[in-house]
This record gives sequence, C-alpha cells and structure tokens, in this order.
Amino acid sequence: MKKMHTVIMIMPLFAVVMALATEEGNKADSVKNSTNRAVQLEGFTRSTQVISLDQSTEAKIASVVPRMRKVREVGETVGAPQTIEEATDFLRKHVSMAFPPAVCTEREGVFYFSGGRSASRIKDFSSGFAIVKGQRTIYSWDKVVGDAGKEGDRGSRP
Amino acid sequence: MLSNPLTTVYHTLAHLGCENAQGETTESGTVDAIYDEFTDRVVRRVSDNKQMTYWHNDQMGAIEASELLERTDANGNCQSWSGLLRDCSSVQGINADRIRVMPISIFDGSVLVKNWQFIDPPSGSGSHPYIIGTDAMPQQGIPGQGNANPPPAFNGHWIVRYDDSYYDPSYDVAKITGSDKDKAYEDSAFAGYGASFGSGARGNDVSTNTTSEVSYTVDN
Repeated sequence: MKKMHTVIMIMPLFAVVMALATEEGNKADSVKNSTNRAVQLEGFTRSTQVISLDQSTEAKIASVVPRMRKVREVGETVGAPQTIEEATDFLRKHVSMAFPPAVCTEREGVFYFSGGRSASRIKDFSSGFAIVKGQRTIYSWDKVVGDAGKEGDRGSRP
Repeated sequence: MLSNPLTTVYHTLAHLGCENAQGETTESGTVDAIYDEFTDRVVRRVSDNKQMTYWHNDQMGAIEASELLERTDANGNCQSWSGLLRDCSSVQGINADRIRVMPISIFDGSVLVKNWQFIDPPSGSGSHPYIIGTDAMPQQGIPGQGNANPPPAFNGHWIVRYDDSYYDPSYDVAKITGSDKDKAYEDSAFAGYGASFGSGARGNDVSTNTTSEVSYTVDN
C-alpha cells in the first residue's frame, strides 16, 4: 500500500518535470531558431534596436499577449517575413508610423516591436506590434485597449 | 446607392455616402461629394455620433476603417482614414484604391509633412544637410481630422486614388488631378525628407522640371 502511495505521489511530479523538460526543449529550439542578433537596421527604423530575450523582456511581452489584436492582414502578393530584419521592413511598408519602434525581439516564432504606435519612443513594450514568423498578419496592442492616452513628448528624430 | 456595394456595408459607410452624394448620378461626382464631407475635418460615426480623429494625442489608433468605426476613442492613422473614404466609395459600387506613398530613394527614410522650417546655412553636410531639431524645425502642421497639429513626420503616407485623382482624407486638402498628379501631390503635402542614416533632412525639390520623389503603390 505504501509503495502504491509513493507511485501516485511521484506521478504528478514526473508529469510536471516532463512538461517542463518539453517546454525547455521548445524554448531551446526557439532560441536556436531565433533571428535575434545585433544588426544595424536601416532607413526609418535605423534607431530600432534588436535585443536579446532576457527575463525582464520575456515578462513584459508575456503580459501584453492577452491585449494583442489583429489589426492588418496583408495580401499574398507580398512575401511573409522570416527574420527580424524582414519583419521590420514588413512593418515599415505596411503601417504608417510617426516614430519607429524603439526595440524589437523574436520570441517563440513571433517578432515583437516595442512602440511605433505613438509619436514618442516606447521601450517597455507597453504598446507595440507583433508579427508571426512566416505570416502576413500584423497584431498590435496599446497601453489600455481601445483608449490610448498621451504617452509622452514627441520624439525629436523621425 | 449608385450601384451594388463592393464591401461590407457598415452603417457609417452607407450614411456618409448616401447623405453626401444624394442626387449624384456619376461615379466621379459621387466620390467628390463624399470627399467634400471630409474636407471640413469633422466626420462622425453614426453609432455614437462621435467625431473620428487623426493621430489624436499623437496616438496612431486604428489602421483599418473597420477598426476606426469600432474603437471607443474613434482615432486612427492615415491608413484607416484612406480606408474609410475607399470603403464609402465601395459601398456605392465604386472601385477606389488605397495608395501607399513612400520615398523612392533609399537615402530618404521618412516624409516630412508640411510645415517645416529649414534654416540656412545648414549645420550638416551631404545630401541631407539640415539637422532635425537644430536647423530643420517642425512648424504648426496642416490640420488633420479632429487634430489641429498632427505629427510632423512619417515613414510614409496613405491616400486614395480614384480614376485620375488623389484624395487625402486625413487632412484638409483639395483633391489633386491630372497627368502630373504624382509630382503635384508630393509638392502639396511634403516639405522634405528625413535621411535614412543619421539625423539629417533635406527640403523637397519643388522645381517644375523634376519628377516625383515618392512612389505610389496600391495597398488595399
């Protein structure tokens, strides 16, 4: 009876460990396939920095995912972005922006851009855009869904 | 309605089209009459009578017309406003296109929407010698929809093309018509261009013997 009880106790723990292992595996694949790297972006987005996915950024992005909504679907005549440089160019060509995103990063096959939705520099992912790798759909989120207030002074360099 | 609708008929789209183009019997007359509603920069939704705005509080808001009609703040960028005029026309059975306007040269990274002051002599050098914030200064801009002073620069601007004319429903500007409309629209809208590299800018070359420095691409 005691042996049976131990097995029952161990089973959930085993399931959790396996799940975490799978998640770690996915994350490892995601990092391995990530196109995040220190590149100098050009043109309108020349000041947009590609950043690596640290714990703080991961937490910020995770918190905005529920607020994301589809805002634009681009026709199939245009190629779908596969790298963060292509995603940046895709965003530049398909969204009219007054100020470029401050930073961008790739997380689990999705390109995230902080800012670009106002005329000021937004580095904390409180508003921004997302594009799924290999797709032509653009998602966005604002500070508060629906009603976005003034976030700061206009950036001085468009 | 002039003809069968070519898009989803939202109440505001039908209202703006039918009320303003009442009695019109031609496509061009209908589009012009609908555009007239936009030129006073007060356009309201039917659902809540709320005035829709362009870059209100320096916020982008909606990108598509359907979102402009739906958002609680009724705020949107030029794509949503161009989409709104295009879709009002489409509800009347008229094919109009939303057009992306962007610099042709890879050395131009942004369009500087009127009005800007370029102070001579510029402190920089090269093709974009005016340094933004130093000797290239944004001035009070052309008023936009529900916004007296929209942001002064963008990566590009979206407008509407119908037949041989450009319409810019985001701002209070007359339609541009004719074979030289690319150059004419550019000169009417843009004071200059920001550099792709660095913080320089240059004025728009408005001399008559030059061609347009921006491209016009259908982007519905």
